[in-house]
Amino acid sequence: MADMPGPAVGSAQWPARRLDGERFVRGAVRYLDDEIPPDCLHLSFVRGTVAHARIRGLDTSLAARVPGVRGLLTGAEAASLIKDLVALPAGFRPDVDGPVTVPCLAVDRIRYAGEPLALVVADSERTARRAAELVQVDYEPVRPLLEIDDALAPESPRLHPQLPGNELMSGVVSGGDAERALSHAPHVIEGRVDMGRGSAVPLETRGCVASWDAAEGRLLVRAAVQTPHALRADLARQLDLAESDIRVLAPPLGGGFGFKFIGLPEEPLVCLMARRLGRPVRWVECREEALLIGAREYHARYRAGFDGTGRMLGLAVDLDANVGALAANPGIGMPSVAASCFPGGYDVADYVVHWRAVLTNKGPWNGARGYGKEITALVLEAAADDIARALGVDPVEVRRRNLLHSHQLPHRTATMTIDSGDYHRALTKALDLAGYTDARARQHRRDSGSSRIGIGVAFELTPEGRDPAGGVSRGSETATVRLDTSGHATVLTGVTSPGTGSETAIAQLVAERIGIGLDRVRVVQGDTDRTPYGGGSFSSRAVLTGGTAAWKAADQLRGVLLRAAAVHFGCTEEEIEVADGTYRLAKDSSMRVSVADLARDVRAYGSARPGVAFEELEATATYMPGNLQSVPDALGRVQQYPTYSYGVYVAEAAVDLDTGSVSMRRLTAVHDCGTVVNPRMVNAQINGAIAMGIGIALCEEETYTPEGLPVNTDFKRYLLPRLPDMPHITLDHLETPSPFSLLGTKGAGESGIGGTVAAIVGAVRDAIGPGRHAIRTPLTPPRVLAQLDAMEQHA
Amino acid sequence: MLIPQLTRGTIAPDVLVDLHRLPGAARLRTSAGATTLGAMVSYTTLIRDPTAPPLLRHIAQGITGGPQIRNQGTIAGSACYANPASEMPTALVASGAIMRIAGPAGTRSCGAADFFDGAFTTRLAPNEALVALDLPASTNSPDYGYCKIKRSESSWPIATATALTSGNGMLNLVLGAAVTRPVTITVPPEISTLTVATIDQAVEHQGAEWWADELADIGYRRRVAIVALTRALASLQERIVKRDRP
Repeated sequence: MADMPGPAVGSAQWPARRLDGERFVRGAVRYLDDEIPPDCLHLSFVRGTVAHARIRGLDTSLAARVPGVRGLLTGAEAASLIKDLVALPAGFRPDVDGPVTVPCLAVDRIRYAGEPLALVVADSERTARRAAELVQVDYEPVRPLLEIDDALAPESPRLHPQLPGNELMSGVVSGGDAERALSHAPHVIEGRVDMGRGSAVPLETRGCVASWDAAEGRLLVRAAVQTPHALRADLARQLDLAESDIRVLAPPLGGGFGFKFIGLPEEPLVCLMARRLGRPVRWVECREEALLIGAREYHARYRAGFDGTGRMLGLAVDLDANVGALAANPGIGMPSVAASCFPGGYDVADYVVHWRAVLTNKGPWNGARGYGKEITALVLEAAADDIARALGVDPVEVRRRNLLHSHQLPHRTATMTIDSGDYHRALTKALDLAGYTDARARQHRRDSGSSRIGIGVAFELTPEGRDPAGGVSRGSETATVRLDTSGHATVLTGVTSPGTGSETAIAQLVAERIGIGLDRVRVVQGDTDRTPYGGGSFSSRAVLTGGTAAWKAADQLRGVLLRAAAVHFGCTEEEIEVADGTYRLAKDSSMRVSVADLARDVRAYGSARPGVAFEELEATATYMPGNLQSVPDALGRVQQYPTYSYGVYVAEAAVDLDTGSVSMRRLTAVHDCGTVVNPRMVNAQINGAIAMGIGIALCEEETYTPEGLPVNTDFKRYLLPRLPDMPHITLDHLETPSPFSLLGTKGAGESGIGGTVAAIVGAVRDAIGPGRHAIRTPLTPPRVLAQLDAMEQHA
Repeated sequence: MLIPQLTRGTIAPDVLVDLHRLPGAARLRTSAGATTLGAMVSYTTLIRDPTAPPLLRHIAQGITGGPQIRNQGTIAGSACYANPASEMPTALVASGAIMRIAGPAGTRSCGAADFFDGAFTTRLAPNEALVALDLPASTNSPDYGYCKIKRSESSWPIATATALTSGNGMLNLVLGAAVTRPVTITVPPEISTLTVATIDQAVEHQGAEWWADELADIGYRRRVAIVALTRALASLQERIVKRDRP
């Protein structure tokens, strides 16, 4: 293994500000929406207005007559022009022949309110929208299936013609013998958790601008997507083009969060129309369209067996996910991930999780930060709190009894090999930081009045760096680093910029390794013509894989420069130190040469001067973390996550006993993502995740009318947390490097969501008081008030 | 509301009139203790003017949406939109505001309580415009109570209650957001508890109805309406006590 970077990579030396922060703040960054090619046309979708129906016919004649309309396409017409989206590959389900597909435009059936079934292209966005409204659709409504029980009832209609029923996929994750453990356990608690439907909601919606270059025979696509190479692959298949005849540009995103995974129909259709009409075509999603998409809705029942000391002896979970209408993006993989992350950081050998993903007539899912791990954390922490309550002990005691100890790691379960960590130290640190003992004392002293304080503590395990073998985007990444004779480096990376500032961390790694200033590194991303093949951004991999690949390439260039410097000074490489943009003799720092001069030397004199080889000033490296196993072992286990971040979250909330309102007072978190490259960025990630966790726990929900129409169509109805909703946040970190990643990094993009949700739920339950109450997020004031009422009635 | 509706294209008016150039439209004037708000007085103007009625200033500071909304949103605009969830209609009724309305036949006045007819409905005719709001001197009283119950910061109000002393020594409580039009309940100053029955009666008596929307149903609103009124009342009583203390 190449020498591990020392403290220079860590926090102390590089608390660098975002490289391009000023451009973002000054509005100089060009997002997708800023691109309006001079002669472009605008595309608007005709979307179904009922949740479930047969389409008897479509009449586009009125729409076609609107001046300025340049193109129209119905589902029937699209079917012969563009291939369907593939939701499940062939062989995924043994009972289905071939892949399970979804048409780009609905042809004879509507599966959710808002499903696109036709499109209009016109001179202006307004004209396209108006014309789209004039398309008349003849529906034969069918009773919509909105809930899982309904979708699984034997008499309910099939929602997908290729599938025998409405259970899309299911599985079991288990270790040991849970049933035996539960039947032998001295005590068993059971509970229920329902997590309401919600979605990742980036500030920027999706969009796509495409044009066909007839002279080159190439499609140029600019799309607000996290995975440009994956989009290129899909477009090639759907439009019958070679991948090399397509260029996809992914501009800086105004937030990705999994919402901008590819696999939905809009981008391919924009490309199709650009090619057909021979002019650039543009589509930008409006908020109402964006809010059609979901990314979580879970119903879990759990049973936990325990002894008198609070030790968890066995765990059984039934986890159902309402995934809405079938979609062809990675979002449908989340319920499986949620199940695979049990039993989290707890030392429980006997557990079983039965999970199902069920289709309904709600809107389709796409990915979302947390990726199912949020429900895992909530269920585990609810069970732990239940155990504490049953025994009359502080919830912290149950964590102490059950969290894995650092000497037990690496720790293998059915689906994970947890790499490293010190959970108990994080717990102690978080409790100290939160002033937990004092907070509990204050809590008990406080007069009831009209509000009650509750405190919740939660542990969250966050597997990261996923390698989904079988898919187009894998867990490895490639980077090219080029050094020029100005002494500047250019990094070409296949990871993209969702807005997290990961390119700053990548630049840091390269700058430090080569020995140049951060301001001399440019990071190029989001261009399938220029960068190596890449996985884009997902599973917090930008620094973990993208950064490490860049570091490796930079390391090779460092070698080139060391060799050149040794020839330059007539010494050995070991006598040279790299500092302040120069390569110099360790024993006499006045003998130094700049990186620029060394680069020029290599260029000009390579092989012409003794000792100076003709070396490349460009290096490409691929990196795949260790600790991955895609081929099942003798026990049938696979292992898709190389690294495991984790955190402890302490929430203090005040519950208004008369209105049920929950106001957040404090949130304390101690987080460990292994080696930290840029602490500012990591803090920003955790803060953002905490905000998302508050939204999930307290106010975000996508609901439907009984007819299956979405209710929360804008931000006055889909309630996101705002600054006044945020508590005072205190953060601290541990750094337990991963033994399985080259730089010890683990990924920090998703940590904080599940832990925050669980801690807040714990705090509210703590405030409401003892008693068995089912958990249903978001904990809106009416729900909390109903719980308080139930408590009173019980008493 | 007009601007978002125009942006989304949910309304497409043939004629759009900008009232900014109406003389005095953006000004707040006090004269002999009475205050007149022009049609274009924004929340920010209210907030920045220390002579503005305290109750209205208090409410203006809590309008959701930050400076962008507070700079553009107007009190008169909120009144004309008459969204039951909006705070200003209730505040205007509580303040005893007189609405000055201009039309082809000239200018007329209408008391705020009569102006608000129901959810999204006012007594403004299609060819009329609200040009000013006259607030009597009593609205300058520093004694007020206000309580707003929301679901979260993004949420519009679920129940609001204002409490002011009325001229004759009684206290006027006005309930908003939970009802289709503001409902006034007059109580003696020494009152300690309100009953749901009292509120139900007032709602019915004043031709209002309980209001429900996507954020809360009627059951929840009836529960928290009494909480809002009680808290506004307590807040007013506290202010009175503080003032009377030597």
